[in-house]
Parts: sequence; structure tokens; C-alpha cells
Amino acid sequence: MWRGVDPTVLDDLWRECEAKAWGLPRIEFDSILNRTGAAQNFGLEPEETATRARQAAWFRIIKLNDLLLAKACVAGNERAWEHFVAVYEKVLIRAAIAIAGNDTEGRDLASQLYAELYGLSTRDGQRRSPLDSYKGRGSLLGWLRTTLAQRHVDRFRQNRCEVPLKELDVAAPTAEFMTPPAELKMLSESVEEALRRQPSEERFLVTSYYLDGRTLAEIARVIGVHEATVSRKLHRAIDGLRKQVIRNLESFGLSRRAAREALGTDPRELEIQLRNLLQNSPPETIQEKVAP
Amino acid sequence: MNRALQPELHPDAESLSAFMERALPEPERVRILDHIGVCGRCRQIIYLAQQASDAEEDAVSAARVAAVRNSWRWNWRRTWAPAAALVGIFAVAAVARLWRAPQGSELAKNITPTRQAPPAALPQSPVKEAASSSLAPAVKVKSAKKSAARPAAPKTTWEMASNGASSHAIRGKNYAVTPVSSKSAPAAESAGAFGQGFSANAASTPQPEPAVAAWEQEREAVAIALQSAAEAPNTSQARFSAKTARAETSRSLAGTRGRRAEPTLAGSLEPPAPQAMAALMAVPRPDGATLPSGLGALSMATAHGRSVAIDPAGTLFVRESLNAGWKTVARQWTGRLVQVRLRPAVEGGETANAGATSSEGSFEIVNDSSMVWASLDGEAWQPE
Repeated sequence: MWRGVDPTVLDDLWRECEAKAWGLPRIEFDSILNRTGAAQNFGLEPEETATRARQAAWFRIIKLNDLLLAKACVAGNERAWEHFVAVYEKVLIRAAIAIAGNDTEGRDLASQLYAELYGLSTRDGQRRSPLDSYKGRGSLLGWLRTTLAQRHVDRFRQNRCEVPLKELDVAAPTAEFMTPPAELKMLSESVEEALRRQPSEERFLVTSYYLDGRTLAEIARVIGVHEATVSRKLHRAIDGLRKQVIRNLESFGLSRRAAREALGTDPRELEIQLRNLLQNSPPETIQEKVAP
Repeated sequence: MNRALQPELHPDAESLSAFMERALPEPERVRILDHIGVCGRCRQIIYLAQQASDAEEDAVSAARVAAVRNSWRWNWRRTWAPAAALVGIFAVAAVARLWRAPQGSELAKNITPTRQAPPAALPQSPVKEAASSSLAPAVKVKSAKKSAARPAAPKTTWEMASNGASSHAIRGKNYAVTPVSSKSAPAAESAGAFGQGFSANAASTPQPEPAVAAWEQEREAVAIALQSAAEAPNTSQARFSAKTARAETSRSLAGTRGRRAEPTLAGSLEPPAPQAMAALMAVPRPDGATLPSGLGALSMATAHGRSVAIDPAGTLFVRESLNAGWKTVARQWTGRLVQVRLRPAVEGGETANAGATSSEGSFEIVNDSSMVWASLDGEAWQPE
């Protein structure tokens, strides 16, 4: 049974929070914390009950100050909006320009997101703001950057049909290197199966490096390891993937020698298959998972 | 295409953001990795967000570098300001020094002949040479040392004064005072003539001559020293007192008038004789003796030992001789007397200036309306 956040926890958090600096009232503070705690059950399973210590620990784990700012902005607190604009306006524009790759598109992207954040869009007569989905698990700035990237990628994918076909034209393989369809089908299924069995991190490394063409440094920054570690993991992933593909081909009845020869198939065909498998997301799946 | 590899739903922006910030618990992190391993869109979002983060970090670091550079420049600016001020001060001081140096030498050129011009009969003393020189101190010291090193020093000023040569040598030596008609005046009356000259100068220039003040200062110091010397039975003690007084006077004068005399020059002085001191002390003030009214003489004229003087209040006084006392003359004129002078000679065309000695022995007084009265004895006056 939900009994709300412990008053002593609220008092402690109120003393520590920075929201007083931009004028968040105590009543609104208590309300935001109670709603957030109820929505996420302090990071526990729905049937569990959070103790006072758990409540205090959970509120200290999340980005409470960012969460308070976001919720106050959604609630229409003007001073919260002033603080938000003062802190994030320039940062957001710089991020949008970096994401879009040019100043015009970047500013346009940032303006659109601002309009959304301010709640210009309505549903059932209610102003809706993407900030309402922010739960404080990561920083508000990181959330804004990721949201900008989402908007940009989705807009690009929606407008992809407008790109001239010439740019997407891929040279067809010559007939003399064409692999028989039966072997190609076995190879594709073997690769799919190998990728499915591959650990998630190795799969991410392989796809990022070989399909997306990311550098080791970029990959290293995303997963938070050194470039050399990424390189080593990448070699290990390729070796494991090759062995797994050979094993899968052998499971289709091919000899080890025939399986090794099948790996010598024109890589461009295999690459095309991999792009189809790993790179493209179907349009119908472009919707975000609703967090509990 | 195998739909099994494609997720049904994409993780929300916050999950992807928390994944990049490594703020997710391990199970959720693995789920995100599972998804982005097969979802090009979410990988692209992650890399774009990372790209924006890198750009922001670059901007922040660039701003920091710029701030450091600006602070460095600002520090240099702060250092340059006082440095430039210091250089400016030195430059101003150097210019002032250069400006002053030629001025001083020019002054010396102009003044030296006047100051150093002794009576023709008087020899040039080493004190005179050094005191009147406006060269650098080192040069003066060198000159003084050279003078002191001479085996037979010429007669000093004091010796000349003891021989009855009046105080012209002293004044001419040390101060830019030019005696009036010093050659033509008899020795016995030279003191009076000198007083007349100063009286005339005072009437023409109301402001006191700096040389007069300095001379007065020196005279008082010397008088004190000589008085003690006359009273002291020990000659060496008297000599020491005279030297000390002389040196102190020279120092004080050097402080007020620049490089005029040096204490070391006093070493060549000889103690003066009491007679010379008496003559020195008999020299009246340049602005005239103190009259019975208690005021100094505004204007004074002397002829054949008879003196006529006017005080600043316009009262006329007369005395028979230099040793006689002043008598007040009854008022026989109008207005306020401002000047007394010797009457011009009737024959010979000699014109006596104010303060000059006349052999004719008639006086004239002038009031503030430029009316003139004449008298032969200074007591009975007739309008002109």
C-alpha cells in the first residue's frame, strides 16, 4: 500500500536540493517526490514496499535536481522555465548543431524540441511535454541530447525516400562471383544464427565497427572502455563469429572444408545480408518502449 | 529478414541516455546492448548523442583554454600597467633632470660674474671660488681640496675684513649682491653707502632679495660665533666656534639656495679680528636701520654723514651723523611721503639716484602725489 514518501526524507531532501535556488515551493517539491516515488516504487518491484532508508537512498541515486526542474517545467512553473532556459538553451543549440551537422538544421531541430518541451502540443485538451517522461535516471542534459538525436534520426528516416536513388545505388556483384542461391541461403541462416548466439556486447561491437563504420574511439566512448579493449574484444568477437558460422554450416550438412569455402563467398553479398539483418530497423518498430 | 533480431519496441531516450552515462543496472544495460546490437536506429541515436556530448566537451575545454589565455593576457596586462607607469616615472625624472641640468649651468654662467666679481683690490679666495661655482659637487669638492692643499693660501675674506675692507668681499663672495658705488665711497662710509644701495633696491623692488635674507642669516650666525670668539680666551676654541658657525651657515644656505658653499671650505677660514667684527656688525640692514617709530626705513638718503629716512608710515627722520640718534622731523608737507633722495647737483650735471651719496648735501622728499620738497639739512623743507 502506497503511503507516500516519509516526511523526514522529504525534509532531508528539501534541505539538500538546489530547487530552492530557482524558487520551487515546498508543496510542489513534496508533490513531485510523492508522484515520482509512486510511479517508480523507488526502483523496486511493484509488490515490494520501500522502507524509509530505501526511499532516501533511491532519491539520492536518481538525478533529483534535474527531475524537480523537469517536473516543475511540466507543471508550468515560470521560474523553473527561466532556470531551464538559462541553463540549457545554449547547450541544447550546440548539441543540435553537432547532431544535425550544420547550423541551420541544428537550430531548427532545437527550436522544434523547445516547442515540444514547452508543451505546445496537446492531447485531450492537456498540454503534453516530453519532459514528463523524464524520470531522473540519467542527467537531464543527456536526456535532452538523446531526445534531439531521436528527433533527428526519425526525421531523417522519414525523409529518406526523398534521397535520390543514385546515391543508394549499389553495384551488383558480377555473375562470375555469384554464389549459388542454396549455399547463400545456408550461409545467411548460419550468420543469423551466429549473431543471435553472440553475446550482446560483441554483437554491438561488430555491428558498430563493421556495419556502422564507427571508429574504435567512438565505440570505446559509448561503452566506456579503452580503444585497445574494444580492438581486442572485436578480434575475439570475429573469431567467435567465424567459428560459429562454420559450426552452423556444418550443422546444415556441409563438410568443414565446404564450410570454409562457403566463408569465401563474396563478402559483399554477406555484407548486404548483414545490413538487412542488423542495420535497418523496420518503420513499424519506431516507437519507444513505455517504461513502467 | 529475420524479425526475431528486431526488437518490438525501442528503449526510450532516458534509457539510452542512462546507458551512455553508465547509470543503468547491469540487467537493463545488457537489455539495451541486446537491442542496440541489432537496431541501427538506436545505435545511430547513441552515436549522435555521444557526438553532441563530445562537441560540448570540446566547446567547454576550448572555453577553458580561452579563459586561461585571457587570464594569462590579463595578468600580463596587469603586469604591464605598473611597469609602464614605472617606466613613465623614470622617463619624467630623466627629462626633469636633463631639463634642470642645463638650466643650472646657465644660471651659473649668468650669476658667476656678478657673484664672483670682487673688488679689484681683493684677491680671489678659495672659499669664494668654491662657493660661487655651480659645477657639480665633485668638482667643487675637488676645487676645495685643491685650495686647501695649497701651501700658502691667499688672504681669506676674514682677513680682508680685518684690514678694514668692509664687508663687500663677504657679500660679493657668497651672495649675488652688488654694492652700489663701492669704489667711489670712502672706506669710512662704505657701510652707509651700502645701506643706501639696499634701501634704494628695497624701494624699487618691494619683495626682499633672497640674497639679503641669506646674508642676514649668515651674518647672525657669524656674529654669534665671533662674539663667543671675542669672549673666549682660548684662540683655538674661538677658531673652532667660528668654523662651526661658518659651516652651519654654509650648510643652511646650501640647503636653501643650492650648491653654494660646502662645509669643507670653512676649514680654510681664519678667525676674524674683533675690529673687523665690529665693522661687520655696524653694517645696517639693507632696508635701513630701525627708526624711532620701530619700523624699518622705507627710503633713506645720506649726505656728508647726515641721513634722512622715511619709515613705511610716512614719518620723516633725520640724524646728524652715523653715530647720532634719529630725530623725528615735524610735518611740513602734504600727503604721505614715499621717497627721500639726494637733490641733483645744480652744476656739473651729476644726478644722484636714490640711495646714492651726494657731495651737494641737499635732500628731496616725494609724497604719494609725486609732490617734491627740498631741504639742505633734512629738517626744514620747502616745496619745489
